[in-house]
Amino acid sequence: MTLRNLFRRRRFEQDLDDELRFHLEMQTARNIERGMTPNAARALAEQEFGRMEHAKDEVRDARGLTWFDDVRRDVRFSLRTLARTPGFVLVVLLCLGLGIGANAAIFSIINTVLLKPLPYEKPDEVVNAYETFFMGSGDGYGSVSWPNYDDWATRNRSFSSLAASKSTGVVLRGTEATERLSASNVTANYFTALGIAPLRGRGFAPTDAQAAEADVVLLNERLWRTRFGADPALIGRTINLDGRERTVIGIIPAAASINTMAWLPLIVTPEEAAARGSHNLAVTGRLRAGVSIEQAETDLKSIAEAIKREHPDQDPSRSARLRPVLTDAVGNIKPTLMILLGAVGLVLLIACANVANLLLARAASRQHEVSVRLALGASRARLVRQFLIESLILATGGAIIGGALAWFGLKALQPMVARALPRASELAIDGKMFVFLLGVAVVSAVLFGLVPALQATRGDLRGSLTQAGMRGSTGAQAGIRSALVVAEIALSLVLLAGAGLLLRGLLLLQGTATGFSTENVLTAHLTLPDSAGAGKGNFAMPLLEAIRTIPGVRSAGMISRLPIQSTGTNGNYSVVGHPAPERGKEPLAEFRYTTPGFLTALDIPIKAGRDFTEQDLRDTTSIILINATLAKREFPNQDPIGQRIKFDENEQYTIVGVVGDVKQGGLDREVMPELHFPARAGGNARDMTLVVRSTVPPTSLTPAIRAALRQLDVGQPLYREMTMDDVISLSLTSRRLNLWLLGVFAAVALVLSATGLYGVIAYLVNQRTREIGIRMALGAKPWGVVAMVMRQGGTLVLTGLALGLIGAAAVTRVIASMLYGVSPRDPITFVVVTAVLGGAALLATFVPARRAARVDPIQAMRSE
Amino acid sequence: MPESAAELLQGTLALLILQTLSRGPDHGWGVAQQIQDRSREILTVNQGSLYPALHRLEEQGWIESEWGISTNNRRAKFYRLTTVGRKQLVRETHTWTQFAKAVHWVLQPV
Repeated sequence: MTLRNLFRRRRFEQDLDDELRFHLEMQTARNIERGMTPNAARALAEQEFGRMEHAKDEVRDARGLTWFDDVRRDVRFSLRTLARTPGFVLVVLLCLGLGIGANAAIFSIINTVLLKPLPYEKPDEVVNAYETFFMGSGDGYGSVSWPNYDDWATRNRSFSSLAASKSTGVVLRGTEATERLSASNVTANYFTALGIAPLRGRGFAPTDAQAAEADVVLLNERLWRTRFGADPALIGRTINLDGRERTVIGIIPAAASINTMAWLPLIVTPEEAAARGSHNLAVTGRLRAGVSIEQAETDLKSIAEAIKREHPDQDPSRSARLRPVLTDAVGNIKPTLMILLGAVGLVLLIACANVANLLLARAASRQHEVSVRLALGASRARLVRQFLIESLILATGGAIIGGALAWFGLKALQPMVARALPRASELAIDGKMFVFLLGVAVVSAVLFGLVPALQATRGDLRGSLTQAGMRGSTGAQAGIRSALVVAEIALSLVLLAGAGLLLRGLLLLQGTATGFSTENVLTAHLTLPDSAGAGKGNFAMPLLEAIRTIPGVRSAGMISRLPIQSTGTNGNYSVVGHPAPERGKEPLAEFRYTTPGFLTALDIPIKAGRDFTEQDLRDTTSIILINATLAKREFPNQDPIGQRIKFDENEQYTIVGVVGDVKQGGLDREVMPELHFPARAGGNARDMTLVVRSTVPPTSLTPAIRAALRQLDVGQPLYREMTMDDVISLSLTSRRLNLWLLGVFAAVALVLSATGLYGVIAYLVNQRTREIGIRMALGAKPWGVVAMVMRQGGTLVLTGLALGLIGAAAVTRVIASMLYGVSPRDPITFVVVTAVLGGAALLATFVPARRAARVDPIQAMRSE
Repeated sequence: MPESAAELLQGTLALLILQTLSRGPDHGWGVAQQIQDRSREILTVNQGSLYPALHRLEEQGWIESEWGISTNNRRAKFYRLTTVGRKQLVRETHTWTQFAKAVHWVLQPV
């Protein structure tokens, strides 16, 4: 009702006028009837109705309109007032824009990564299932073997469907280009379990996994659009994958996966179906309605116990574990995001403190205006509302600027964000973010507006209306403003300390020894064809030969998993002749397949024995290399060369060499024991990485390497080419992103608190101009005046720094998990950031102090 | 016209308006006149409170308004009791009579 009235305002006023005029005319007519002259009759009616305007106001009140009127008037008045001080408005909008923008950016990341549900039907019911195993300290969890999956799937009572998948790569050969795609082998119920319906065509049927019918494929919508022009006729046609014609039976919506471009049926060979110890499947299931994740986990664990009873030869440490898909999808990013949210919260607090400070200064200069309005009968509530409306207008402006800053900021950071964050491709600014911005604006308006509003309207009428009052300096005012600045400095120090610790951690990490040299090293992935001659060695060696003849190439080799880039192929081993480790507690080692030339290409030292030779790749003798960590662990006082390692009774390998340690999964990880097998037929490494060291810029070699590959005519493309430096840099992306974000926030905080301090000191100097003038007239030296002002500012700075150090010491512990090699209370970092902030703060004090020293005594005294 | 003989008790005006309109739709002036006539000129309705009251009652949904033509052929705004308003009238009449009775009893000489 009220809102409708508001929008039909003109009509409402017209109606009200008509209604009251009708009344007046009727009354006049009645008076005439009673024998009065028309003029007298009207006069009397009007007199009786004298309070018409008042009545109208009451009617408007009854309709709830006056409040809106007042607010509208206040808004117009505020806009006019603000327009008179564009400099002030600009500074305030910048402060708020930075504060709100930082919050909006982090919120939109959190909104996307943590709050937005996954694109599945009822995503809460979808969980990932893992096998757990003994891992030295506590249980690890990982992939599932086919027989275990099969038992889980057939025996459980908790899942409506339990699906398995295995990621792989396929080569799409077409008329124009050969392209390597990330793909996945999945069971027929995979998409049903996730609740994803094909966009076109059909999903897999159980019969698709029977070898005879298996030449089918589902394609990601993204691939269908980019490579096949969204051709609807593609369904039913065949495409060439890995040299095999496969019929496209359906298109899967792009939202289902960012990386996987093709899905193939998961076909299990009789050997795989029996290999209970071969863990290579990802398992995902949909819980039955009403079954909790804990109940389902208990169910799977009891099945795992039964499996162990039925198969006593199997690893006794194996059990089952469930995790929500969203938890897995976002990984351990949640605490990081919460820390960043805390940081931007601090930035906003600092921005608000700064704006409050500016508003206080402004309020002081408006003391006279306020006093006059109070004297004219305006209520204090009215004035407070007026001030708060001004704050709201400023906050809204700040929110608009902040939204824009967030948008551009996220766009600029997009490449880094995309690599560092899961689900980053879904990042967008949506309606929820606008609601958030609005909320932040209102909250901050109250935060920075209320104190100045109350302060400004605290009417000491007499005082303010006199000359002295016009100077508007009250002790309470200066006190609040100083306290705000102290708080700003303290909060900034906390942020700077956090950013400083991250920076130091990153620097330490970048200086960490990798165990190899990265200079002029190119890496590129390729998939060895199954059909390439008798064995992989037969394909790998000719290719390496060809590459070594390219001008500029110094050495070349291949490895199954590149250092720094990945860990994950591992298994238990034991040493022949050593006492058998306890069942289920065998030591774990990373497995690698390498070719001759790999160690030379990365400059990894051979500590003892020898590298593989070409002969080793052709022979079938069981030899391996071990890394220094494994050697130290198993053969502390022995020569490892010639010792044998076994994986089960039938598989024994003789150690022929010890190689230097390299960081496997990242610079921040401990080196694990590692074993190298010769990369030859029989090894299960299809995906290999080429490592080439050159005397020329490494990326310039790519075309020649591609040509060499084509020459061998195996139709395998090269992909993910990058220098080894890039591989390392990529592994640090998320740390770098954290540092970037926190660093930007800290810088903003630094600027805000320095300008805030500058504002307060400049204001105080202004207040004391006359006093300073007198001092100078009495012979005070300019440097004495500087010192006096600096002392005043210095007290605030020192208080702020002291409080900030206490705060930082208490708070930086929360980022301990993000740090590498640095204590959360690292003294060096604390000293440096304190010095930086203190320096900036003193500079902010020095500028007005110098101005004070230039005060012309005569001018100063005359101006009063 | 005599000055208002009795200050209307808070809320009484609303009751009087509802009662008046229960006899049929009328415009503001008509309502005022009816109250004056039926109270034998003891109650005079102050226009300054009549119109706010009418608008407040309409805002409450107890009466509704419509523009129409008055007996002297003028455009006027007519108010009419709504169903909710009729129920409200019954309730308020009951409250008021109870109140009046109570006051009457208290005023009885001992």
